[in-house]
Amino acid sequence: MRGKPSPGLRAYGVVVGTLLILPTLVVIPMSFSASEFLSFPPKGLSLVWYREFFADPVWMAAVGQSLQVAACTTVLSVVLGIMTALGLIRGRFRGKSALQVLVLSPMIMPLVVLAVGLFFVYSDWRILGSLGGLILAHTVIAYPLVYIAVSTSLQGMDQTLEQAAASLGANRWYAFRTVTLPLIAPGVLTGALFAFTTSWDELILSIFLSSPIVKTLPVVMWQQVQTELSPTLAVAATLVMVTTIVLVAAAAWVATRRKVVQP
Amino acid sequence: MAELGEVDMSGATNATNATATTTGAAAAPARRRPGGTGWNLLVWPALVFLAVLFLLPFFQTALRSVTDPGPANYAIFWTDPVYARSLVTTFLTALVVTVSALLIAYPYAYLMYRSTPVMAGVLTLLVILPFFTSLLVRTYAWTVWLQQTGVINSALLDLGVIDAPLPLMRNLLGVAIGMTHSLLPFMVFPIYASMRRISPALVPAARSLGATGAFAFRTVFLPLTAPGVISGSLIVFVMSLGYYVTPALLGSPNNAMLSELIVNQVEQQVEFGIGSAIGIVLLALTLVFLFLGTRVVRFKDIVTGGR
Amino acid sequence: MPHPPVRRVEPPSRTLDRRQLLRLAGLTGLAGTGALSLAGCASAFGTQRADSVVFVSDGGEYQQAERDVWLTPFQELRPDLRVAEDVPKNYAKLQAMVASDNVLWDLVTATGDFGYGGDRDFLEDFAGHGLPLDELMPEYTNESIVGHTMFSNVLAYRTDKLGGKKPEGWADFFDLDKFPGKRGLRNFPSGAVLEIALTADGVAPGDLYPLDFDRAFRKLDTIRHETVFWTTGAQSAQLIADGEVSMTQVWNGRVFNLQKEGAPIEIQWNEHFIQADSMVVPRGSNVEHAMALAKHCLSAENNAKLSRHIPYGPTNLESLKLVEKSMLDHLPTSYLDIGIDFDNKWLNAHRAEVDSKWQNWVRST
Repeated sequence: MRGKPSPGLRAYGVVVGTLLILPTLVVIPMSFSASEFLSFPPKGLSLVWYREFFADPVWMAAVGQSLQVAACTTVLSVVLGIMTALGLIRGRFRGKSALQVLVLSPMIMPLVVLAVGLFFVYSDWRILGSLGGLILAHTVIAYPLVYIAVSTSLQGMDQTLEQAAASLGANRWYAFRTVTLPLIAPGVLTGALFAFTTSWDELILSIFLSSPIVKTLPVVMWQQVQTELSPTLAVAATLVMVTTIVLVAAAAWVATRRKVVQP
Repeated sequence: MAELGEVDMSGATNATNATATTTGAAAAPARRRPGGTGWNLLVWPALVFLAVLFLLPFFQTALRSVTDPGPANYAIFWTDPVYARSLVTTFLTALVVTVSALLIAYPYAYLMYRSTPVMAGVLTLLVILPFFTSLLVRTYAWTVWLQQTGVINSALLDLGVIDAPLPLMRNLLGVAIGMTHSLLPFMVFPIYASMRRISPALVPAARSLGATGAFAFRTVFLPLTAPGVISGSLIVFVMSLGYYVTPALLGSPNNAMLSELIVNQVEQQVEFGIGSAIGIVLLALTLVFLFLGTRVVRFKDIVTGGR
Repeated sequence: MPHPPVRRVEPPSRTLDRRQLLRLAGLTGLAGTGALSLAGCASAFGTQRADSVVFVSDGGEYQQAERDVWLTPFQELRPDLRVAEDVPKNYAKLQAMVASDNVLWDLVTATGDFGYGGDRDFLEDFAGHGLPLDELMPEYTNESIVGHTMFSNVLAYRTDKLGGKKPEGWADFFDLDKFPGKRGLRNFPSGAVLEIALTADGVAPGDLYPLDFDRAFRKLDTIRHETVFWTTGAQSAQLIADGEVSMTQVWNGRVFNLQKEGAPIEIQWNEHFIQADSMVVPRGSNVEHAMALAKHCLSAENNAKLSRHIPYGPTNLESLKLVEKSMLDHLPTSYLDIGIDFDNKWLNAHRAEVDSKWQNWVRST
C-alpha cells in the first residue's frame, strides 16, 4: 500500500541509526583500557579498572545507594501512579484537567530550578543528604511516567469487565485486583521500568540533594567527570548502560512473552 | 519520555487491550457511566505529594529570589551583560536544537511510516536505546569523539584532511550535537504518531487525481503531520531551555545557558538569591512557551507526544 | 495412603477457598514486603552523619595520595568511624553550610588565603585538640588553619610542541610568536593567574600587591584567543597530556605522574608561585572526629608520607628530615629561591573585588 521506501531514505535511516547508537558505545572499549588515563582507542586491554571499580568503597556505596533509591522510587511511583491514573480517569470532579496538567508538569519543567527549590526545602527540613529525600525527589519526576503508562492501559481497557465482576458480587477492591490489575499489568510494568531507569540515571536533583555520605552513582560519576578522568569512570558508565539495557530487554522479553501467551 | 511508554510496549499493551475490549464490549454493554466520589479520593495523595514536593520548591525559589537579599537579584539581567547574553544563548541553543532535531527526525519518522512493521520496530528501538542510556554517559561519550584530541579530530588529522583540530565542542556546535542526539526521540515520536493517523490511501488518491508525488506530499501529507511537528518542536524547544548536563560538558563557559548560571550561582558562588532569580526567569520562559503552545495543541499532547 | 483420594473428592468450592487462601497468603506476603520496604524508605530520612568524618579536598591524584597515606590508614585505626570524602572544596559552600546549620563537611583542605581574615568566624579553633601545632611552619598556621602541604603553580610545557625551544618564565608563556600553541590557565582568580600575568608583564615579585587589575587583564587579553581555561587539576593534567595545550599553568604534582608515564612534558621552575594547603574544620561539624583525623595527618611521620606519592612538601618541620632523597628534586621546597610568594592577607581582604573583576573579564568575550 505504502510502497517500499526509496534506497536514499533507507540509507538515511542507516546513517541516523548509526549516529544514534555508535557514539555512546565508545565507553565500553575505554573501560577495558590498560592506561592510567582515559583515552580512545584504549592503550592495551585489561580488566584492571573493573577490579579497581569493584574494590573501591566509594563506587560500591554509590551503587548500593542508587539501587536502594531506585527501588524505593519505583515502589512509590507505581503506587502513586496507579492511584492517580484511576482517580483522574474514573473520578468526576472539577479541575480535573488542571490536575492533569499539574501531574504531567514535572516532566517538562526545568529540573535545575526544581533541584534548587528542593534544596531550599530540604535544608529547612534538615533532610539534605538522606536517602528518603532523594527517593521523594526522584518520585516527583518518575511517577508521571507511571501515570501515563497506566492511564494509557486504563483507557484502552473496557471498564464493563470490572462492572461485570462487581455485578457478580465482587467488591470493588476484589474486582480491581482480579480484573483491572491484570489488564493494566503491562502498563504498570512499563511505568515501573521507566520509574526505575529515571531514578537510576537521575543526576541533576541528586547533585543538589545528596551529601558526601549519601550519594548516588550518577553523582559520583559526575564528580569524576569533573575531577579524576580515570578509566573507572568508563567502567561505571558501561555498567550503568548495561544495567538499563538489560532491564529494557527484560521488559521487552516479558512483553513479547505476554503477547505470545495471550490468545 | 512519555510517548516512549506507548511506543515501547505498544505491541503488548494493544494486544492485551484489544482482546479485553472486544470481550468486554460483547459481554456487557455499559448502561451507566462508572465513576464517582470513591475514585475521586485517589487523586488526593498525588495532589498532596505534588503540592509539597513540586509546588512548594518552586514557591520557595520564587520567595528566595525576592528576599535574599531582595528583588534587586533580578537586576542582574540588565546590569551584568553575562546574564542577558545567557538569555540569548539559551534561546538560540533551544532554537538550533529544535530545528536540527526537526530536520533529522522528519525523514526518519517518514521512513518508519513507510517501513514494514518489523523494520519500524527496529527503527523505534534505535531511537529509544540512547534514550535509555544515562544522559551523563552519552554526553561524556560525545566528548571522547568531539574534543580536540578526540576520535574525529585524530582521524581527520591522520588522514591529512585537516591541519589543525576542528573546534567541535566547547561551543554551540558541541552542545547542539549532544542535545539533538538526546532530544531526538521527543521529535520523532509525535511526528510518527501524526503520520500513522494519515490514511495510507490518501497520497495515492491525490496522485490518481493527477498530482505529482512531490506535490501530493507537500499539499496532502505534510499539512496533516503539522500537529506532530508542532508538539514535537514544542517539547524539544521547552526541554532544551532547561538542559544542564550537555551544555555543561560540551559547551563553553563563555556562552553558558541559564541552567549553568543557576548551578554556578547556587553550587559555586553560593548566591542563593541570584541563583533563584535566574531560576524563576527560566521557569517563566518555560511557562510562557508552554502557554503559547497550548494555544495550538493540548498540554497533554505536548508532554505525551500527541496521542 | 488416605490423602490422594481425599483430595480427589474435595468439593470444588473448597478448592477455590484453598486457592483463595493461598492467594491471600501470597498477597499478605507481598503487602508485607511492600510495607516493609516502604517503612525502610520512610526511616531513611536520616543523614547518616553521626559516626562519620568527611574529608574534602581537590580530587584527582592529590586526593588519591591523601587517601592512600592519611585516610585509609586512619580508617583502619578507627573502624568505629566512617571516613568519607567529597570534592571539590568550596569556601562559600562551607560558609553557607555553617550558616544554615547543614554542615556536611568535617575536615576541609583550604588553599591560599582562606582562613586569613573574617572567614575565621566559620571555623573551629585547633587549639586544645592535641595537634602538633608548634612543629608546623608558622607562616601557614593560625588558630583556625593548619598548613599541611606545600605545592607550587608552575609552568609546564610540551617538549614536542615548541620546536625544541624552552620557555624561561611567564614572559615566554605569553609570547605566542616565539612559542605558538594553545595555553592552559586556571579559571580561578586567587590561584595565581593574575600574578602570572603581572609577572609576565615585568612586575617584580615585591610589587605584585596591590594587584594592578587593568594591567593584568590587558596582558591576559593578548593570549586569550589561544587560552583554554581549566577548573580542576585533573583537567589541567589531561589538557597537557593530550597535547591540547602546549603550555599550561599547573600544580607541580600533576605533572609528575605524566612524566613518569613518559609524556614529553617539562616543568620550568623559574617564577613558580608557592602555596600551602591547610586544613580547616567548619563550625558545627563533627569536630571531635575532624580533629582526630587532622592530628593523624599532621604528625611528623604521616605528614612526610604524602611526598612519596605526589611531589608536594610537608609543612611539619620535623617531616622535612624524613622525605626521601629521590623526591627532593621534585618538591617545591627545593626551589624556594626562585619562587614567588602570595600575599594571603591582602588577597583575603580583597577577595570579593578580585572575584568580581575576574568573573567580569572571564565571562566577557
